[in-house]
Amino acid sequence: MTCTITGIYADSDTLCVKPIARWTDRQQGLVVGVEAQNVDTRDMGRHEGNRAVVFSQYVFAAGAFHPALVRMLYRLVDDEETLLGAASPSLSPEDRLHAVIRTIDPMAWTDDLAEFLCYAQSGHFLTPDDFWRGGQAPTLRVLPIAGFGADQTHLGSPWTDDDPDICVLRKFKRSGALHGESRLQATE
Amino acid sequence: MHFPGMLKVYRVAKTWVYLNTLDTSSSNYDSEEAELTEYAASLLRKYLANYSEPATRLGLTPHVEDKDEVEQCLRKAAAAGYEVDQAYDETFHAYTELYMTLDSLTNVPTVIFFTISNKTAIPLSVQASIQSWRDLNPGFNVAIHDDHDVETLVELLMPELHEIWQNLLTIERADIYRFLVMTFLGGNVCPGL
Repeated sequence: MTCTITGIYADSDTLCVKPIARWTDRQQGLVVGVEAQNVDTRDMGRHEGNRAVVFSQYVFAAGAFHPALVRMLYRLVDDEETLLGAASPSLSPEDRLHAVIRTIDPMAWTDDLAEFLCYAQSGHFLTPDDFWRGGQAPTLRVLPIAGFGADQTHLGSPWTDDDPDICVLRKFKRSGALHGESRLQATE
Repeated sequence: MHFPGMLKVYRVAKTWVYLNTLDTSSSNYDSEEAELTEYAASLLRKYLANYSEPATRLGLTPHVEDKDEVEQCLRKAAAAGYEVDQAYDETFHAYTELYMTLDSLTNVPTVIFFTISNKTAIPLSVQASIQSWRDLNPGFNVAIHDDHDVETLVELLMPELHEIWQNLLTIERADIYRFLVMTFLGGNVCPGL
């Protein structure tokens, strides 16, 4: 089996500090990082359960048509009613942020990856420890938490300047909350 | 109306009720509380049975007190006509199996994708961020898509989504863009786009 990393998505507030070739070897179908650990979703307007890890969506690398991407994308499309519901003009900004968190935020992405792993791992499950240190599953590589989440200290990441695992830094911590009002605006 | 997959029903039901709870002007909120069905309860049991082991291993631990709440949500969703498309789960499983047997098709240059509001007026801080990716990855292509480009991509690649695009929140459009572009424009399958 040979999968090929051919695309990188990066938020425009991220800094690349290690060449992509050093954290992808083009043999994985999907490379993701961890941005937070031990998140209680009740603090974020969701009540579905805790997350030992939350995968980041501000940077990831993939080949086209990876199953986890396909699942996330088509779930969103099928959720048309929910997507539009979050834009309801009757919602307050805070409730709107919570509604978005429920449908399309990194925890939704985490759930889709978890579903993919349920299908793909064939009984050899990654554990939260693997996510902390980095791990490998069929067609999927999870970077150590320092890879993408080194400076997300408010989300549980330990920050050390000289951590050799750091690949990408994010300029704005909690950008969704800090810039939520503008990002949650509907189109004019 | 149907929603694919167990988790799909779980999340949609939760979100649906949540939004209706917030939007008390909605006519859906107080109508079907009493119309609980055994069908929806069975969905939840199947969901929990199928998902509990991997979920536990991944640290996705449902709150005990949420089970009743979720069950009620599912029953309300079923009463309102929501149902599970089990064929979707089977199709996704088959697709995953197929994908894992594929060989790469070509060895094309990797593309780094960014999205901004207007690429004719890129803030200096964003320029510095993008430059950091260019500097460390000189052999890679960089694609910067602004709002106009993104809408064009959506119209080309997912026209059913384009119909509602302008009614979505900015944050929704930005989040959908990343999965759209990474799914379809990875480069090895459709490099001509």
